[in-house]
Amino acid sequence: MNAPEAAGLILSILGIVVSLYAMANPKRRTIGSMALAIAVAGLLGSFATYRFSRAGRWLPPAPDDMAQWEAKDSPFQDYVLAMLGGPQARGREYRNPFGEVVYWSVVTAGPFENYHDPTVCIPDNGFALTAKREFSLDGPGSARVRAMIFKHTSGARMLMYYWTQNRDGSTATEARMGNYRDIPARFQTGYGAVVEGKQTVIVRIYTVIPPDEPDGAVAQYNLNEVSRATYRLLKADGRKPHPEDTWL
Amino acid sequence: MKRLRPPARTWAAFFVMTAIVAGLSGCSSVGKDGGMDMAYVSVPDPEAEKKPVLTAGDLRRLFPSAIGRRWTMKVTLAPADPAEQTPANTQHSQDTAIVEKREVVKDGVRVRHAFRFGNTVHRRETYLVTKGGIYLVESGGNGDTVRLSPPMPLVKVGVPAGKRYVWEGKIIIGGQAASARAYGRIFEKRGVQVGGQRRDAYRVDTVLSFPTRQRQEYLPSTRYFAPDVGVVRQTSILFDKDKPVRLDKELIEYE
Repeated sequence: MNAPEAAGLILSILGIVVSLYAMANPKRRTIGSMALAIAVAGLLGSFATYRFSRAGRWLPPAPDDMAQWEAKDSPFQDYVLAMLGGPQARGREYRNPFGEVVYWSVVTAGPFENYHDPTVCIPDNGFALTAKREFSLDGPGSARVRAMIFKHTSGARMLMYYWTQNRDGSTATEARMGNYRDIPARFQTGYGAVVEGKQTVIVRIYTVIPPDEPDGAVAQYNLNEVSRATYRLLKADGRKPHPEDTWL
Repeated sequence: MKRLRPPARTWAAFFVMTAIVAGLSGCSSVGKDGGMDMAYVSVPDPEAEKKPVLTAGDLRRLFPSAIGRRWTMKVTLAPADPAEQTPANTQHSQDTAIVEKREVVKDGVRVRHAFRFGNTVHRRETYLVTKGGIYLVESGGNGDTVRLSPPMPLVKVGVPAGKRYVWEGKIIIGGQAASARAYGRIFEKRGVQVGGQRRDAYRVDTVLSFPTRQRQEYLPSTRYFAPDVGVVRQTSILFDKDKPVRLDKELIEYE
């Protein structure tokens, strides 16, 4: 817990104690009740802020031991991190012996501003969303991911898998933008972070389908390979205790 | 004491809000599955992914090897980077591959193809076809034959789609041997456009890497094998004076 979060919690608790003391005096009962309501709201707000920030404190490692894939770090640019509200992040490029590259990123998901849905962010710069399909990555009952195709004006296509993954291994694919249709997903995120104490990361893994490819079989094979390794690593890492873990 | 009951209007508003939220559940802003490029995304099936693409029976049909069989290909040679390709630096020609020699050996059949521009043989390639796969034994033009020892697998039987197979051996160029490594993989049959016609073919990728005096060479190639025809399309990246060039071959005629 950092200093502002601790100050918020201490002040709120102090406010509750003072307002309860005030309510003990019949002359100050009304003002005491109002102060109590404000202090309780403050406590809940401070707690929620702390829990949202805690939700974004789990940054798992990137897969390092995928056979025949070379990994190269590809850190996020500062302006991208600023746009995402300053989360922790990792970026990688994986290259196989055929020279095909899979781009990989994991961003910690604390406050809502960390969530930028690819369907909103990517359709600039000449891209259009031309397919969307959700499925289980590793067979029935396994991780749900959202696959998307973004077609560029040049004819090349980008195939991307997107999902959010909690430390317990559960995944979700819903968009969490400030759109009325995303209210249930945002409620789920808020409840998960504040009440259940879930810690979450946002995973985006993508590759390019060249214009002369008759289908996306090669690209999808590569994406499946890297995504499955990622899902399994995140699941294993989520179960391990981390030094920055807190009881609250 | 008076009992506090919310008025009927409050209850009605509560139910309407609940209905709206319930109605929105599962209704994300990204919408339902669909789109014009759905053919580019299939649902992964881990069980089906374990099945081999080819059996020994399929293999025989992929590599017709009777003496005299010929394949005429349209050949395009251009800079590997599409941004650098212009009509001026793109060459078109025709190349004919003929089965020149076929011999039964201990572990399979050895087949030699002669490649001709017109009546001139400019290149020969020797393959070994066994129950386990199709292997490249040697290739090259007059005086610059490249031999691979042991033969390098192009197509392997019993391998699931996309799974990479590794070959490690020697590449012998002009009597000089160097360690080499190659990766290969095969994908399920799919429809490919060949000479304005759609043919079902297996995609086979190979990348051969070996050291030269200047650098580590990487020679990737993609071949499409159609049953009862053979290679119907091939793309290779070669180096011409240190610049990568792309060689495309497409079947025009097959006898």
